[in-house]
This record gives sequence, structure tokens and C-alpha cells, in this order.
Amino acid sequence: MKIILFVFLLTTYINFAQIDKEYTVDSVNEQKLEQIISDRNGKYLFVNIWASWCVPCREEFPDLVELFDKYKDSLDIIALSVDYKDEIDNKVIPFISKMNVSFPVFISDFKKDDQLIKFFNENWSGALPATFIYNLEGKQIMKLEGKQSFESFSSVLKSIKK
Amino acid sequence: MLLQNRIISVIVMFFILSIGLTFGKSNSDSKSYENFALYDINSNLHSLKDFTNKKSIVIIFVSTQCPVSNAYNSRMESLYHKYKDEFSFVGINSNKQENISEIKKHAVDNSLDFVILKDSSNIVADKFEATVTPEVYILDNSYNLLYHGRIDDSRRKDNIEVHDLSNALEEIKSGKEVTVKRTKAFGCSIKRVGK
Repeated sequence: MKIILFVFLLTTYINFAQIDKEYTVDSVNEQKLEQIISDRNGKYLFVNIWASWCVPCREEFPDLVELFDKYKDSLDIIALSVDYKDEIDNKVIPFISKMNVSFPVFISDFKKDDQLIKFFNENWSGALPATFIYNLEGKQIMKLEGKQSFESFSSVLKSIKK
Repeated sequence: MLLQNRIISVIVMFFILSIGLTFGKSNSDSKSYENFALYDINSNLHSLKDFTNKKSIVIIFVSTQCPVSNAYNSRMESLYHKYKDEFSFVGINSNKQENISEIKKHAVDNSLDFVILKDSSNIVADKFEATVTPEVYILDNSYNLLYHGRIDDSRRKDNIEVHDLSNALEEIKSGKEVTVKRTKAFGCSIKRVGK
């Protein structure tokens, strides 16, 4: 009986421990983003712009998670949410917890959406999701507009590594 | 006499060249569209030509499901009621997953009183190269583009600083040229057929 109880408590604890994986979502401004982009440390960088309300962004997210899990030795990913700061606890964190995200997730601290567009790429239409790719020198070398798949992300990564 | 002729020739050449440059610039900045026809949510066929009886045509690509577009429902409706006597307002829904009955219900629920057309094959969205909702185009009655971009500069009403669409409409209303002709719309991507 004691063993059963012990196993029950242990599995309950493990389940809670998994659910309770702590996620924090900090806000980033232009300066902080520039620092992240320039701090390459021998890895490429994918910056994914998304929002909890954006259906294709949500559909794309598992592929980003898979991409990072497979290529994290040579790739950094950051997800930059354009939700509002007061939506972090009730929208952003529940979603990234569900996705079991293992890369950093930030929330935009840009005052206006057009400032964000200008920062990343003047030619970006402003449609979500969008992913901006940086080389080892922190230079933007590609922009992907619209929902991508694990295969398309992987193929881009392989092509830029050549 | 010979020198005088040469001076006149040079002046004429400069004049012709400057006209050429001016027209060249204006052509490269301008954009125009063709007439099109789409059914509205009540199965009535409308062509763009039907909307040329006012100062200009305001075309807004909209969505029923996009939270950004929905955040603008009351703003779009207010702008329509404020300017409907001077401007034609046309909403276009090009999202593949939003059907006529859903669009109709959404329009009723949100009191969207302007005409909403269904662009089922994305033909119009493709011609306009529209990418997000909400995204605005103002055309003159010859379908020349006067303004393209966002309604205003904030998804949240309490954070608006620049009323871009309203500013453009006021300028057109006063017979002025639109000062800011291009802004960036921000929102949900238009889900196209086959994509």
C-alpha cells in the first residue's frame, strides 16, 4: 500500500513539476534586440515575430520548437511576441508552456508596430508570422513572411550554412 | 545670331528634359488599378465602377476572425458614418476560411453597415497585393492610388497618435494632395486559397 501511495505521489509530483516549468517573458526594446542579434557566438539566429491571436503563428510554433531542438548547437531562436504586456500571463505564457518552448520568448517593447517593421525590415509587409534570419556576423540575410514548416525552416538553415 | 540660336536651343532642351523628368517621377510614384466585380454578402454583384459616384473610394481588406481587424470594427464603422456622404466605402474579405454566412453574421453583429464583398479566389487581393487585415487603399474615381496602409497607428484605441486614414480623407475632402500616401498596415496575414 505504501509503495502504491509513494508511486502515486511521485507521479503527481512529476506531472506538477512539468506543468510548473517556469516561463518568463521579458520585454525587449531596440537596444536589447540589437545586442541579442550582434551577440552571435558562432550561431545563426532566427527571430520569429508572432502573436497569441495569430492562428498561422500558433500553427507554425511546433515546427520552430522542433527546429530548435534539432539544431540548437548551431542555431539560436528567439520568439518575439507582439501581444500586449498585459497579455503575458493570460495569453503568452499559457501558449508557450503548452508548446514546451525551450528558446527565449520576448514581448515587443516597441511603442508602435511601424517602429518594429522599420527595425526588422522596411520591406516586411507587416503580416504575421514573419521570421528574420541573421548570419554569424549578426547581419540579416533573409526574411520569411507567412507560416513556415519544419522542412522549410530546415532547408533555409541548410542553405545558409553552405 | 548663331550664338543666340544656340542659347535658345539649349534652353528648349533643358525645358524638354525637365518636363520629361517631372513626368517620369510622377509616373514612378503613382499606381493605378483596374475595375473588378465581386458579389457582396447579400449576393449582389458590384463592380468598382459602381463606387465612383463620390470623391474617392475607400477599400478596406477585412476579416471576421482576425483580432486586429476586429479591434478596428468600431473605428471602421465610425469612419464610414463620418465620411459616407463624400466617400464610397468597400470592405473586401479575401480570407479563404471565412465564408459568406460567417461574414454576414459578423457584419450584423458588429454593425458594419458598409458594403462587404467576398473575394473568394483572392483575385482582388492579389491584384492589390494586399497582405494583411485591416489594410486600406484609397483610390480616386479613375482607380489611381491616393493612399495605402493602415487605418491608424495603434491596434489599441487608447494608444492612437496618428489617424492616417482620417487624415488622408480630410485632405482629399479639402481638395489637397494626400501628404502621407504610404504607411505600413500591421495585422493578420490574408489566408489565400491554396496556401
